[in-house]
Amino acid sequence: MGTFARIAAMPGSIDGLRTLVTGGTSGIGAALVDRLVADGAHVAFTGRDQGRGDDVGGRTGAAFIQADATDEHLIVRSVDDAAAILGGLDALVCSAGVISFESIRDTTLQDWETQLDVNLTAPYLYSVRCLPLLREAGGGSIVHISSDAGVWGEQEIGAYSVTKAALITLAQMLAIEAGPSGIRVNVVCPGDILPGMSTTTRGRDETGADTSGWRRPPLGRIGEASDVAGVVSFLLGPDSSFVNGAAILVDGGMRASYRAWEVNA
Amino acid sequence: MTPLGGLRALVTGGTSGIGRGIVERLRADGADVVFTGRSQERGAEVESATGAAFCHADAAQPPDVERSVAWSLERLGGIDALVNNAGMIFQGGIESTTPAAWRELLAVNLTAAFLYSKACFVPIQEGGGGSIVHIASDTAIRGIASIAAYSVTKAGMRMLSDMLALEGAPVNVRSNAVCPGDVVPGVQATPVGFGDHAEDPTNWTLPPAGRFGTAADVASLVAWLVSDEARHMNGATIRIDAGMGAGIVTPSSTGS
Repeated sequence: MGTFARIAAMPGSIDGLRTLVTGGTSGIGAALVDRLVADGAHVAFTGRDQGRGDDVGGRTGAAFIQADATDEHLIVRSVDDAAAILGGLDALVCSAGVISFESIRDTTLQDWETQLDVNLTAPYLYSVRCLPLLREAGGGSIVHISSDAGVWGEQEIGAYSVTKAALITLAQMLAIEAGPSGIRVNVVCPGDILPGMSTTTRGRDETGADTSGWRRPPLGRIGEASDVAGVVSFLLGPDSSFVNGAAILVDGGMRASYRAWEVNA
Repeated sequence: MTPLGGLRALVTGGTSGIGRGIVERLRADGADVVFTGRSQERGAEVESATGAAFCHADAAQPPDVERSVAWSLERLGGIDALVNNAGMIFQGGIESTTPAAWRELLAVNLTAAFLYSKACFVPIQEGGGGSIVHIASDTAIRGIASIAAYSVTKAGMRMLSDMLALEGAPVNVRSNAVCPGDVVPGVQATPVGFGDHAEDPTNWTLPPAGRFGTAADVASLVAWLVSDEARHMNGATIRIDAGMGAGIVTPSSTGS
């Protein structure tokens, strides 16, 4: 009897949910670790930076596993480590991502491939490695963190938009495939969020960015990482038990129409 | 009639399937065409059948992309239209897709389109404008679980087309995505060593229209998109599937 089956009897709770979060040392990923631990989940998280990993692990009690999402062997090992630490796995959240602020024409093959590796191939590898563990647990949930740019792309982050669009389809294909095993797979598409992406191959580091010039979504504010974490917590828990293959925008309404920001201009 | 007379076109993966149909059509409409492919033998055959020029190139190899674009520019004196058609398919779900197959699908279906588009963009612009057509798939709009990794790459290709459309709009370089449904003959290439995951049309559902698509069906749309008639078409995603993807049909409403 897996943990997921046990907590399924407790509506709204992810208490005890054994969860692996990738890219948990900054931005949305770190907020996810904070939130899921606060909600009672047992969390292991990955990241490249030992110092930041120790910080997040120290304040939350979650287990840090150093891993680079471009390295297939480290990905496999980090899943095995997480399962060993947590005593199995009920949930996976793929949050690790990398962004490059440039048009398609300006994107080098190397930047293109780095973004494909981290934003698309890593979620594929993590999902495939975790699915047998989730089946062993009697079911579970996977959440991928895509982007509003995966739903409707942006020229200044062209290659990033491509990888995030493909990631949405990856999540949907997994939802079909894993559904019969009682495993739900959903994908969250955040808009502009702070603290945001800290990992860039080219362009700005958005942590601590001056957002005064940013377009505001209809809700009038830039999103916070905790806004995304709340949706992910919902998607991991039993309240979302019939939500599968969904791509959920968390963008303050920015993709609800053409020029949605003009309502606040 | 030579509606495409003077048009200089590069078609990737033109030795079989939809690609071959596109080469035939563009030639019939009067365009000067270079096409790429991996099979020397099939390339020679299409070359002699159509009068298009064959450039031996493997879309999975970035140096081949560069070389074939340079060769096309030399041969045609410029490029007005690029058709990103080369593609491969892998029959199976995500879990049965090995990392090797995954990477090759990404390389051919997505990275090659990226590299060809980048390499041809400026020549198209400098020739006074033109267009890029991406042969995506109906799975780019909504995936199909039995060709899951393929669907993922095609969703990426559709977004690539959109992003190029944004970049090209100010300089008269158009980019559109063509999304065919089931076409016979279909995709003939699979990742190396994965021949048992080739496309298998035996269990396909016949579209309500009563027949599967043909390469010629898709080629007519491409011939229009690269022509000046389609000058206001940019960033479009066009399903060409006889209505299969328009919605769900329940057995009781088919009238059969």
